[in-house]
Amino acid sequence: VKLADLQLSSRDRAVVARVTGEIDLSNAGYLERTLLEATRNDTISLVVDLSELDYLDSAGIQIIYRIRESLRSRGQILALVIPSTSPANAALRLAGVDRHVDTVETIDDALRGSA
Amino acid sequence: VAIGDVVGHGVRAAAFMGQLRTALRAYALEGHGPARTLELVDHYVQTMPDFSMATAAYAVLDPETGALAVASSGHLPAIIVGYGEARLVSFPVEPPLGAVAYASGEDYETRLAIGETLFFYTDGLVERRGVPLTDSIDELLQIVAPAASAEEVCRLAIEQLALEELPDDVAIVALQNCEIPADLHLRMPANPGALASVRRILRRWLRHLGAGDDDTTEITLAVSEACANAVEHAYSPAPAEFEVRASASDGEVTIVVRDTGRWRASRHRDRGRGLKIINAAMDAVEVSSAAAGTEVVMRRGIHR
Repeated sequence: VKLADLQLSSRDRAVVARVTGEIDLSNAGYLERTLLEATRNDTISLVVDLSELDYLDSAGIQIIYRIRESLRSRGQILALVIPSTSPANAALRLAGVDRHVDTVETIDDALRGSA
Repeated sequence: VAIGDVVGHGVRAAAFMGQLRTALRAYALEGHGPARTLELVDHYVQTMPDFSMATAAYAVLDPETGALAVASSGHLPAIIVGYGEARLVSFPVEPPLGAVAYASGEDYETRLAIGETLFFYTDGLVERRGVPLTDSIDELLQIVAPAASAEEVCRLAIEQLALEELPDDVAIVALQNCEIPADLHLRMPANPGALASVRRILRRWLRHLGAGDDDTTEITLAVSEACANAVEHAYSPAPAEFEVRASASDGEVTIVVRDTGRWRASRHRDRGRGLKIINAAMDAVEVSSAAAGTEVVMRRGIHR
């Protein structure tokens, strides 16, 4: 059974990627490539929704940084939906990066912020 | 786990069974529950040029919670055995595969407690000339009741019932929700795919100890990070392994992750982040590196 599931949709000029399941060392690299390929050049922002994600490790945090850098070099924005009570947020907090990674509570917040 | 029985014998029945097995596996891997999976297999059967009929039952166990979801397409009731008792799983039985177009049902939800075994069998095990099916199923319940493991359920069922000349072939499947040991000792292959397995086993063990959600989340994260380090630094030429040992006393858990490689904690930034997570999540952490490998000892109190 697959560790994580990815659902892609687009709204206006944003790509919304909802990831459920678990992100760890075994699938983080694949997820990074898939998300970057899904964000085409005419897209303004990539919204990654991790609100229903059950697990995120340091390899997952690493790809968040790398995706953010890649998008920035293409003039695009990364928005992360990570509610404060989610397991993904626990990982950011324990890694001590919760203040360096901008997150929002809901997809609507993310779309409003990037519109 | 799943079981199935095709109407008829011989090469065609065997080929049909092979196709059913593949279809069920494919739909199940898509993440569908038991009832929906059987419904899709039924649709598949209906499209085959000269399909036959088959019965099947499919169950999904969540080992973390013991939640068991079962569905049956015309298959005999399953049995749950444990602690000296055996009972029938009274799931609603839908029509066999290929019998009615667009049959559909719902998952039957029950629980497989720790130590209990779920037992599936085909009618060949209980069908005997002149004996009503309900009587021989009752007999089967009594025979397997004393079993304490999946192996024992199978052994008792076969020894007692296969003595007689059985007219049909027989298939049995047994699945036990294994007891949770006081101390965990895992030996895992050093590849990233092993991390999810470690986390599943550890979460179940922690929950059984009475650890809360926050304790479980944070300890699991720390241990998985330590294991990820072990996986990334497994340099041995032979197929590498790493070990996880976990024990608990006086409301404190101690978890040791040992590998055969050496940590290079500062080379990649994310590795440093992994160690940071371990330190933040646990009360005490000791890392010792020697030629033989690296050992991480982590402790944390759990709030019951």
